[in-house]
Amino acid sequence: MGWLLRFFNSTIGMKVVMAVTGLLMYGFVIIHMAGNIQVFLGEEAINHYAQLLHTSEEVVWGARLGLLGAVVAHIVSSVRLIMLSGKARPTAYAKRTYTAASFASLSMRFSAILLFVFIIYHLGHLTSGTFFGEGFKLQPGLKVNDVWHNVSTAFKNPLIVGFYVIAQLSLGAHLYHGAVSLFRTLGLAGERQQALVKNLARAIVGAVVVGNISIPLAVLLGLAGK
Amino acid sequence: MTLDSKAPSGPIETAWDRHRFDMKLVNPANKRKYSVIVVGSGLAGASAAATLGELGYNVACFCFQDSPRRAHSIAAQGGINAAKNYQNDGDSVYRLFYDTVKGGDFRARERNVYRLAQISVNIIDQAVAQGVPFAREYGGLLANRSFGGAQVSRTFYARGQTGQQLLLGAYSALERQIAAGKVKMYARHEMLELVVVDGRARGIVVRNLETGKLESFAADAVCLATGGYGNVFFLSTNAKGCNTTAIWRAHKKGALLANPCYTQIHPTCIPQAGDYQSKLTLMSESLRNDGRVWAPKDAADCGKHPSEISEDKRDYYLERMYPSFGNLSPRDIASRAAKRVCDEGRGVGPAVGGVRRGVYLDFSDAIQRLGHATISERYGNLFEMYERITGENPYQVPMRMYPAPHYTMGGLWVDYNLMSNVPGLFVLGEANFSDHGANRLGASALMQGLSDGYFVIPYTLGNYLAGVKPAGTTADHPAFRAAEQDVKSKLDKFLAIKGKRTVDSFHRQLGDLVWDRCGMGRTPEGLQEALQKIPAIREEFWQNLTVAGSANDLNQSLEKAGRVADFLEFAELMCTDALTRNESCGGHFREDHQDDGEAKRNDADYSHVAAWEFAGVGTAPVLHKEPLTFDYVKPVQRSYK
Amino acid sequence: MKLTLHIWRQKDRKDAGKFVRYEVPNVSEHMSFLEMLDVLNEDLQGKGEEAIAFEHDCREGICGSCGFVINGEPHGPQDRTTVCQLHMRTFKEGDELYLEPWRATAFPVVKDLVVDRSAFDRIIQAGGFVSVNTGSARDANSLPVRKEDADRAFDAAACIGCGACVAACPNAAAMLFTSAKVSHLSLLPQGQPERYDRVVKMVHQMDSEDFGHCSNHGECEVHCPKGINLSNISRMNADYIKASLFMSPREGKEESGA
Ligand SMILES: Cc1cc2nc3c(=O)[nH]c(=O)nc-3n(C[C@H](O)[C@H](O)[C@H](O)COP(=O)(O)OP(=O)(O)OC[C@H]3O[C@@H](n4cnc5c(N)ncnc54)[C@H](O)[C@@H]3O)c2cc1C
Ligand code: HEM
Ligand code: HEM
Ligand code: SF4
Ligand code: F3S
Ligand code: FES
Repeated sequence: MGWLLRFFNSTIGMKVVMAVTGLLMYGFVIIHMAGNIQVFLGEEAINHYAQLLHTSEEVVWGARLGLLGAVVAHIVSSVRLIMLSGKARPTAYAKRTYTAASFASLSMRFSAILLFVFIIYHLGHLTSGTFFGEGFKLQPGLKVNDVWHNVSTAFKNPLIVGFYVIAQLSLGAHLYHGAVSLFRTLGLAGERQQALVKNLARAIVGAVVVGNISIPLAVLLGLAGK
Repeated sequence: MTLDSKAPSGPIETAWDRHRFDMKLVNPANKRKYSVIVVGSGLAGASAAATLGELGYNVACFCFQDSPRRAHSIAAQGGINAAKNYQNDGDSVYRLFYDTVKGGDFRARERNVYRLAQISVNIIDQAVAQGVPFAREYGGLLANRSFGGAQVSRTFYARGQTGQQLLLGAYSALERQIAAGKVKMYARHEMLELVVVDGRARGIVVRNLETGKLESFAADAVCLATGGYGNVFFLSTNAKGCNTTAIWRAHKKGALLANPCYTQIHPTCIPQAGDYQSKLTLMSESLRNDGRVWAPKDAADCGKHPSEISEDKRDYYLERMYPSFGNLSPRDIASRAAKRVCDEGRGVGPAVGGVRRGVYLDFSDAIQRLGHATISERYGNLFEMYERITGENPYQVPMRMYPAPHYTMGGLWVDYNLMSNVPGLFVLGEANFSDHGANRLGASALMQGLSDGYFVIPYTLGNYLAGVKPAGTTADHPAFRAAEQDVKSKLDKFLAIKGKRTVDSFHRQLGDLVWDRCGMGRTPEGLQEALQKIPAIREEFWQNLTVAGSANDLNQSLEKAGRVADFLEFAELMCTDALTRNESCGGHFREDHQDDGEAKRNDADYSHVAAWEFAGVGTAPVLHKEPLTFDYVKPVQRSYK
Repeated sequence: MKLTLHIWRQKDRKDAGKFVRYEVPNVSEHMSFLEMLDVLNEDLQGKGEEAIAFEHDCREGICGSCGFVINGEPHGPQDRTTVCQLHMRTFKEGDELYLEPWRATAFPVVKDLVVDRSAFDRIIQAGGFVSVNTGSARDANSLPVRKEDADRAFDAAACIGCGACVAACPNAAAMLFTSAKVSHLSLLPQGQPERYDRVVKMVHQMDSEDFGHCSNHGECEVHCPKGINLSNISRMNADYIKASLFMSPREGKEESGA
């Protein structure tokens, strides 16, 4: 088992953890967006979808634990790597000019913190209802959230919508650099594939961010929800 | 003193084989009892250190750069010759041997050259096995080009970075031995003294360039692979750190220095742009394949933009003077012709010190004939480099070129076994007086360095060691203390002078003088003048030098002071040698010995190696001669008209 | 033209170091950056002050000795150009420049702008070679190499070991350098027998030298004077993952030198 430990203690190993867990979360975020967008199809569609997801509690909890594990591993690795990089360059340059590093790549750590805060808030907000306040509802007679109602109510508040939108933009930045980066981390893309990877990342991230943002905005503007 | 070359007699084709058989071997179990010092990590040093380590000797290797990979060999561009005859165009070991002896203007030792040609073949195999990415054809086999006017394609190359790739190959082999514990590497250590005990080279004194600490190292043999002395001219194509210190200090300890006046001037270098210029950059000779060399006919036109000088006012002087070789005339001829034109006042480009030193290398005809695309494909990266340095676009304005010191054929005298006259002192690569005679053909220095390091020294050093008892590596002999003391007092002296002039100002002054008087064209009067002026510069150096800082840390000015001090002594020997050799041969051109611009050899009196013995600073050195015989290639006059 | 320089001066490894301001008048646009510093150094020495230490040797962009950071950019603002080849025409009258050494734990400052890059040599010692003794090579043409592979191997092998990639990387990672060396040999048939062993050893050595990790910022690539491509990092990662997770290890002597 020494070999495995050594792999996970190497910088490349830790990055592989970041990439694989990131990829898992990627999968979730895409499906999540595709599911949520059904708000535009009306109450029945979205609530039915929510029910569908909860058909089996085992599956729900299995997925939740898997996701939680991924998030934890992702965060643990990121903290280890950030500490290493701090140790590698303790003295900053008096002047610094970046040429290739993008806003997205340089802000990974900040977008990550914002994302972390968002996820905690979001779980308490639309999943458990803890931060939602009075109006949080379950579907009548079921242990499933009344997503149609909750979403329609929550996003009437411009502050909450604002926060969601900002969080989605930072998600976009994190995901865009994350996507391009993970291909290289995993050694999946060479010179030729770079353009392809970038375009793919743009398309997917664009879709996720636009899809996600459209929901709270549409509700706020009265274009969706009740 | 009689200089015995120890070259085996008998048929030349089997000489090296027979010699190898006759040499004594060191028992494998005993090899680890012997220690060897290798100074230098260029092609010669790195290949020697790695190979000796592989064989089982304990090797200590030194270089003054921060990593062995940075030795000056890294800068070689063009390629490396080998008699592989992969192109089936008539090459053979014999032809490479023949070309090299003739190219050296019949001033090289025949048997050494033959061995070099034989070994050239193994070098390519070795380099390829190490992963050196030589240029290849689409079929996957190695590509060759013809180089430096050779009539066969025998030059192997890796784009314009052949030296780099070969050195990285040798460096990786060296690093492998370092990891294996067989070689101990001392980077940023400069050898400042050779230690001779009971007539044998037994060690060196080095300065740790970071801490300033002086240390002695003892061994059973010392190999110097410390490169050439081209920087005696201050401006040369050599790396800034190249120096003569190691060989000069060995010379002062008794090693003979041979043919110091044989220096090679490369015709195509970017001219000097101002007084601040620190070095000159070589532009590959291949440019002359398509570029046409010219200068204005009329000195009055020299300040004009080249486009304002009409065709009839241009002098394509190489085509005019050497109609059959034209722009492709050999290095020494093309160089001297450019100098003559500039001396006549017809040079172009910025005037430095009142004289314009530059001629045009014009691609406009070639661009018209072959198209911009072809030219850019052939020379794109050279054009880019030129533009980066000069700020001029060679597609639009002709390039400016001027010759520059490039390589030094002279060096410590060695026998066929690469051992100097001091037993136990071996000399490899450009540092020895080498196999090139009076002139080196392009792509032959890399070949010689690697031949010495990979394939000659492992045998000949073993032969020497088999005859001596392992003496251990403790440097406790009083000779080491004395040598350290000498070095220390010299360093202290530099710091104590506290004069007004910097090291570089002396180096420039010396360089200007020797370039002028002992450069491309030499006259007895000029050389005599130089011999008078050099001691004066040296005297002022020791009285008016300023070196700030201390000897206990990284002090680059102090390092330079030591090197320039040696150049100031060495230059005198170089001029003495040039003055004594009353003939012209190869890179040594005496204006009083010529046939209408062609070098005129004097085989009757000068068919020998001039090996000088040190007799004291400012005292006339003692000349020893090793006669050269030519059993295979009969001396003829070179003509390129 | 006239320039104002703020140059990092540090006496030795232990000294804290600080910026010192210098005015350099009469800079010619034809000077190289190092020649400009030579002129400044001549002037300082004339005044009995110690010259600014900076590393250099070939001054042709090939030995990899030179290099420092100019206004936050390793080797300065010009693409694919080492400081020794950078010319002053890139700058203009009155420019104010900050000159700093490479900053990385793995590259301790030795003096002023000079750093210790021996960590790179140790990465090579860990496995950056083909284990072939002198004399044991077969005829060079008995091993054909696809031209495209040879060319790509060359592209990787062109690395001059200057360290600008580390200096440029926000994490002070040595991934570009290490991957260039790994790729050079892994692309050639000669490098195959040791390919997977090599990558593991070199990566572990790199990690143990206190270099950071790769976040794929790409700063290294744009500041590399030899244009070493990021795809080398990708290639090295693939080999490292495969070697670490899917290949049977060498029995016993995992980490022993050669
Ligand atoms: C620009 C240029 C292009 C060239 N192109 C070609 C070409 O295409 N083909 C060709 O065949 N030849 C070429 N040459 C010539 C060739 O590169 C050199 O002759 C050859 O590389 C010399 O190798 P070397 O090992 O003898 O010495 P070097 O490579 O000069 O190595 C000298 C070593 O000695 C060390 N050293 C020196 N003094 C000391 C000291 N006192 N203490 C400790 N260490 C010391 C240095 O640190 C260095 O490691 C070219 C030369 C130049 C300048
Ligand atoms: C929850 C809090 C999160 C934290 C703290 C976090 C942290 C980080 C950090 C610091 C990096 C950069 C690592 C580096 O320096 O190379 C990173 C990369 C990445 N993150 Fe996150 N992240 C979080 C959430 C997410 C989410 C939700 C996703 C996807 C939906 C994601 C996907 C990725 C991807 C794909 C990468 C790139 C991996 C690589 O470079 O190979 N992250 N993360
Ligand atoms: C604006 C966009 C978003 C909307 C409208 C939205 C909406 C919702 C809703 C309504 C739920 C509850 C579903 C249910 O319980 O049936 C939910 C759950 C969840 N959301 Fe979001 N979400 C958005 C963005 C995100 C993002 C960006 C992430 C992660 C990075 C995320 C992570 C989660 C998680 C982890 C759950 C809990 C799933 C579970 O375990 O039940 N959401 N989201
Ligand atoms: S990869 Fe580029 S920047 Fe890094 S050391 Fe090599 S040449 Fe320098
Ligand atoms: S800049 Fe650094 S983060 Fe990676 S891509 Fe280059 S090593
Ligand atoms: S001095 Fe050699 S690369 Fe700059």
